[in-house]
Amino acid sequence: MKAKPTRSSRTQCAVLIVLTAAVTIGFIAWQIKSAPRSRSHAPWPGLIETTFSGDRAEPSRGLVSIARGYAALTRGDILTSTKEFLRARAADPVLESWPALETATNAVARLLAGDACIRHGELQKGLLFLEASVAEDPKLSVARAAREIALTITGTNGPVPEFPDVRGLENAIASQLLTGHAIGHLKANRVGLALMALEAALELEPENPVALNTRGVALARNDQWPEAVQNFELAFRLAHDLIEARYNWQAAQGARGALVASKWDRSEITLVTAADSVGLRDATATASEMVHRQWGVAPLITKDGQTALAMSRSGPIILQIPGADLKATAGERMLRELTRLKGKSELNVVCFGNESCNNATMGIIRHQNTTLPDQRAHIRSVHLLDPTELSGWAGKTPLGMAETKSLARRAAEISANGVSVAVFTTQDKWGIQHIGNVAAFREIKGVDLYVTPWKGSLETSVGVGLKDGALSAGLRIAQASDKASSRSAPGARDWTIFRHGVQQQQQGTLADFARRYLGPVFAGTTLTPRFNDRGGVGIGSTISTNAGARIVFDFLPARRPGLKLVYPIFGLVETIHPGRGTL
Amino acid sequence: MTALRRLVVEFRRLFLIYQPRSVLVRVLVVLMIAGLLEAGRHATSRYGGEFCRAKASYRKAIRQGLAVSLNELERHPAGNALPGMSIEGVVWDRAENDWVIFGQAAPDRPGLPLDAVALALRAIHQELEAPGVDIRPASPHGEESLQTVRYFGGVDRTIVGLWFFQFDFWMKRKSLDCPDAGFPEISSYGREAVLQLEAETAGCTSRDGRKQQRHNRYWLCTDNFQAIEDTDLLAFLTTPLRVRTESVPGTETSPASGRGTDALAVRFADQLTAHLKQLSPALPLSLIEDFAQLVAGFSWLATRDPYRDLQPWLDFNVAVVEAPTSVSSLLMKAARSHEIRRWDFVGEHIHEIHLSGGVVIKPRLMLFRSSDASLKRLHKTILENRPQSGVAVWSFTYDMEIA
Repeated sequence: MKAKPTRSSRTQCAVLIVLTAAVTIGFIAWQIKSAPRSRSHAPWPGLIETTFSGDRAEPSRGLVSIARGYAALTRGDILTSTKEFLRARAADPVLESWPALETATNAVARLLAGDACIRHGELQKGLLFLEASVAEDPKLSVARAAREIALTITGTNGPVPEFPDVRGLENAIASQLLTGHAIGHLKANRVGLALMALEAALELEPENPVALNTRGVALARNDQWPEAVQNFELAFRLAHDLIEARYNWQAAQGARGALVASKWDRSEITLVTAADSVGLRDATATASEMVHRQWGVAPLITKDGQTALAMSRSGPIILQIPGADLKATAGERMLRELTRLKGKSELNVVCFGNESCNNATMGIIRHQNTTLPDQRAHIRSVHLLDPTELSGWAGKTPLGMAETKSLARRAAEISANGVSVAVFTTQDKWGIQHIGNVAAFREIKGVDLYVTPWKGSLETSVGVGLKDGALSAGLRIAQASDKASSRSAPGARDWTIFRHGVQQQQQGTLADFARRYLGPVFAGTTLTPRFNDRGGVGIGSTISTNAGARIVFDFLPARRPGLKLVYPIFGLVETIHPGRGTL
Repeated sequence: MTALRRLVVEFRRLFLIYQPRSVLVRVLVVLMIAGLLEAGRHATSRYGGEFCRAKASYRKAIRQGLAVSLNELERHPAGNALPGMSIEGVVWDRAENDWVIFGQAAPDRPGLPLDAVALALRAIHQELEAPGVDIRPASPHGEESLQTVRYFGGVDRTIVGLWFFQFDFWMKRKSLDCPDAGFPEISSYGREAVLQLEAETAGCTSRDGRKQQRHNRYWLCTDNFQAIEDTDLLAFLTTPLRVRTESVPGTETSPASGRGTDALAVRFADQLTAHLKQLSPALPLSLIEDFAQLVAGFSWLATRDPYRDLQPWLDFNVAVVEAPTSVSSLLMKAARSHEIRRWDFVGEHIHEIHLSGGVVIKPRLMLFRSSDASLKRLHKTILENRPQSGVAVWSFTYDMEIA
């Protein structure tokens, strides 16, 4: 018989709850406050404010840009920092208005003063400021990088070592330093070493526009013009302020004998979502294979929606979206991305696992319910891969529960709004969460179901041991190879397909079947020379115009074009000629 | 070298006149001269380009001036078009953080739609290629009568793409001597080219059996745009359009052997250029010119004010205009042949002409420095007349004499 709770016991409970909540909140607040500032070494806004306070009521826009650029670089935001640095060169701050020149009292002020001098051509003076900045605060890694790049500009760093020491530097700063170093190699005509440094720079920061532009120049010097063109294009798409990349793109096209139309003339973004990093990686690999098979082009992968949009004119894009964190709950993250991308790109969605499938479908339905049909994001297809697979510890036990019925209902609802939905799952998989996974989707109207037999294995062992002094026996799962990777492995598998009420047996890979939903095959798989419809205004050809004898057409250079190198951070430009070799 | 030699002679003369006796004084003088030369070299390398740039004076009067604020167009894009005006330049209004387009009112001239403004801004900001259109055979061998229309620089399925297409289509029809192309005062290329081809075939003594080909394309391009700039204002001097010919003579295996220009094609292109004004009422040439001016003006403004937030224009809902993506009846493939006999070969020698081409708008500005205060006065006049309230278009009068 249950005892009725008394008033005093309720009060005690309430006090206990309040106390527990207070302790928890206090602990979280303390954790947040004492969390190490992993990327940001210097409290930038404060330092900059101190440096310039009282000197000038309204600092020049260039000055603000440069300070913002360094701040962004310090926190690892390479795109923002590049944009700010590049804009600052057009704003051209008046050197005399830089208070730090006279009153540089801390490392940051000296860094900014050095930057200003270098931008104004006062290279030696700038170097002295940068040296002083590094000497005062050796931990100020941006100053170190700036000094190294300034040394490359002045050419006073003697013989450039093959590879700079980037240990202890943040990725973005190390990437810029390596790029500056690569420019040094290029100037010394060591293209191979330059390319190695650039590969390292781009491995650290794949979306470093200045590094991409530099790699384009290096590849052009190696006579790898098609690859150079791709790098210039990507660099410009990532940072529109990098107009030198556009110039290089046009010049490189001209150097190839013809200006070519962009080979990718549409915008296709595939949103890939999964609950954890391993799932995201596997799902991305699957989506990448699908895209490659359908359009014959390897997709570019990014985690940022704006970047995806910017790059989508260069080729198909995969946009990775974490599918099961707090922000993804109830489809919030998917909804935000769909709102951002609507009207600008054709979309496909690939979800892996139960949580991300649930969240993604919720987001899509919320978008469809809150947007007029003609203003909705154009989603071509939704792929649900292993919609009963659970992530985390729940996924590792055979006792986790996955909600599939409501997911199936949402899939049907999405399909009713004109979006193709395909479910890829595994039959007879071991675990409670997979019970009924095929039945849940098989009868859903408008949803195509692809089922493959489970080929995994389960190894168990029985153990006997002592626990708390008593003998105990236990069942242990030694190996369970039911991961998605085996299902999406490149090899062909047997599939049972349920489409339009018809059941078929076919063999193939998941990518083979899934790619059909992505969109029409891209026709222009080859470059399209604009001035070339019969073999081409090829290399060594002459174009005569009525403006004069030989080539006068303004975007067809008569000789090898000079390509523009842009130094990281300072944004100074140097023209470099591709040199020897044949086009 | 001559100037340097003269400089040395002048210094020697100075030395002879003053004849400094002390060695120390001599050394000091030499050091002083060396210092001056170094300073001069430094200044020249730093500012030389700017000093060497030509100057010009703005001598136009703008009696019925109109100025259009880009900020206000962003806020209230309901008007859907700029007023009818011939664009004279652009101004950066620092106080309002605004870009202003100014020009002479021209009520009889169609105003540029806001779509064109958005496309011009996108072209300078995010497009890799200059806006244009290209019509050419669908297959690489050019055998089919169907030709593909390609739009680039962001004008696909837009009103600007349609203007480009309309002119290009007409230009090719005219070159092919189609009777409905009108303008009989412009002699077409096609008929004369066929006559020339026949004469060439009749007189051909070549022993080479490879097919002789000639590919011609006509491009409407921006020619030498010239403008004067001041700190915050750019005023156009000339903004001409021009039809250019791209001739690729050669053989089938060697498409361009550079045997010279097709004089007939050049003549046709020059005739078109000379008649562009007469063609304006029938074809969207004034709109294309206005668009080219906007591209040039915005390019200049972007270098002055790189902080301008162009996102509203990148997000601007440009109306979809279904411009053709393929056309037929633009094929001209005239072929004549003659027999050639060699000890090892008896065959046909074929001479062919192919036509294609397009429109491309990539204005390059030749910028002059302002030689007087005229642009400053113009700048002041435009901004002084700006109303306080949020008005997108206002009028002003600028007269050289009064100013």
